[in-house]
Amino acid sequence: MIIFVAKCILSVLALVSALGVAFSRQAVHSALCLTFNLLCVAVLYLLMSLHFLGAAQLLVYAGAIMVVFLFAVTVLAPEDEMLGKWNDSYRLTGVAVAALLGGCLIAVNRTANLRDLNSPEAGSLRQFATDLFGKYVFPFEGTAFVLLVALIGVVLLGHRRLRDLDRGGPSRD
Amino acid sequence: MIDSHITLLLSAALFAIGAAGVAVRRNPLIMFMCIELMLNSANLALATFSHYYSRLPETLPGSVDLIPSTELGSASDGSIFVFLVMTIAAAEAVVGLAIIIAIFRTRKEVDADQLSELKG
Repeated sequence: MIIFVAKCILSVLALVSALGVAFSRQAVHSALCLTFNLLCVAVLYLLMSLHFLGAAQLLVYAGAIMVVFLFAVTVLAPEDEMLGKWNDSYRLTGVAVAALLGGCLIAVNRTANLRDLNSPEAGSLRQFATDLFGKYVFPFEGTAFVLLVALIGVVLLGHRRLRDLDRGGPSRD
Repeated sequence: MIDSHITLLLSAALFAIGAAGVAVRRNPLIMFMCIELMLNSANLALATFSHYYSRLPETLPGSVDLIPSTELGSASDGSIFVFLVMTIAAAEAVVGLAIIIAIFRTRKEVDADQLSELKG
């Protein structure tokens, strides 16, 4: 019962912070709301006894990704006057389509036949590690490769020669 | 019933809010944050299904034999999928933000409506 109450409170907090992400005027407020939302979802994972996912959510999302987001917001800070602008022509249509999408998703999700069959070892770290380094070792190594490619790509995107910095133009190589 | 469905409903609502943000906002950074919100909500739905379907019953109520549950996957499969999706989302976020910053350094402005060079 207390878990259900905690889930309800966390859901309300996550909804409010998600609205803050989508509709706040400043990008910094959006980033902070997104951090809070990710924290709420991490606690929800913990309440569902998915302990590793909660920890990974904290480390990867709320730790690493949010640092990158806040860095980008800081870099783009001189354009602060346009950060709050809205896409006025699509405002009504976008909200209507999103509401329709959310309504359909909620209607479908309400019909899901969920039975609480979780075994005691359902979220255990031992089983998780055995599967991750046994059955799923090749996808796991594949993510390492993807991260390496992303790292090299980001370095190439951000790389600039000094003469380009003087000229102010984009890097050509 | 609502006890097990609340995270599913939350993930649907989060996805809708993220979609609305992507459609409505013009700042690429906030659009990108809304995309992260949608990815996160999909993760939440996957984790919920993984939690509640983590072990199938040996027999259906009509005493129809199912395949043995070891062939259907183990209890932590959903967690592993969510973990892999999280990793890919991290890579995607970093590359996307690098592209946004490169565009900003070239054009000195960030507005999703102005970025139309690739339009035919």
